[in-house]
Amino acid sequence: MESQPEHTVWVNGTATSSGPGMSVAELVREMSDRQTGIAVAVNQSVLTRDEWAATILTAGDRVEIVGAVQGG
Amino acid sequence: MDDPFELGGRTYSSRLIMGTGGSANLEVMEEALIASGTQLTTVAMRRLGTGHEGSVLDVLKKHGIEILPNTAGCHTAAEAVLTARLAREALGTDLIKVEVVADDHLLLPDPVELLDAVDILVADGFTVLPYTNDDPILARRLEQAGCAAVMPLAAPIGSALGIRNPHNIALIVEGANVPVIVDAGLGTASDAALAMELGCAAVMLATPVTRAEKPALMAAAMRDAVSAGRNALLAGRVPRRWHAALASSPVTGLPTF
Repeated sequence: MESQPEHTVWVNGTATSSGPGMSVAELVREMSDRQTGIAVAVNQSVLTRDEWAATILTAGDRVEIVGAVQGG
Repeated sequence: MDDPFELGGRTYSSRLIMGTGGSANLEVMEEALIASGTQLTTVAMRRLGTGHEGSVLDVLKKHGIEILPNTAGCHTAAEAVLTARLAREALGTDLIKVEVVADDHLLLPDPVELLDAVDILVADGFTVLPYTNDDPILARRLEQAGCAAVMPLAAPIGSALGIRNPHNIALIVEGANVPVIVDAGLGTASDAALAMELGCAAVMLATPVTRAEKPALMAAAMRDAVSAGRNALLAGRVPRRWHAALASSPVTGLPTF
């Protein structure tokens, strides 16, 4: 993982080169039609929905985007 | 409501918390949830892109069933805390079922990591419902840490072995000032009834319903068993008589032959 190019943003464990410069809000729209029931953590810090638009991804960021599934 | 179940400042009429895990599809899950009469159900948090995210929420919203997110799959306190915070943000609830398992073979709770996670989540304002071993001392520690309930296992998750140590469950109930909810390991309706007869405030289950041959029918059986067990507890059972019988017919006025 550390040998990836330095412009890499990691989204749900996968390297992506389109990430840097993009906002979290844009990334969520790209990944899901659904905008509710979703949460995002960047570098293990959970964002509130209000912070999505103003949070711009930079190289090396590790993003987790999750939603609810059947379980438990 | 005659006999309300109070949990974390909320009130429910149903004492059966049914999970959504293990259903063959959403239609089967929906039928089972309705048949169970549950008002609170668990969901797990997973990465987007797995193809299943979200749609379960539509079913729960349609029927007004409250969501209890869990931290299933977490092995450390840090993972559980992050998952809980993601769930709170995604689902807008402070309820969290904290699962921190020691390994993926037995899925037994890791008590040290669990207690660490609970401390952080209580301080962070969550209403914490910990999935725990059937250990009366750990249950006491979890209550002291500020949990809104304690949820001891009947047996390992999905094992369907029923309540392996009823005495420990009874000791946990005896010592607790918060609701005790038996969670995991139940197999069939009599297991749920026994949990309630032991004084548990509620029962949480998924596998015995969702993986039954007829999930909706088993859900109804569980609903009735929880109700029957609760009523039996409230009714006050007769004491066990190990060394003598007690006739239920008059012992006088017997004809002689």
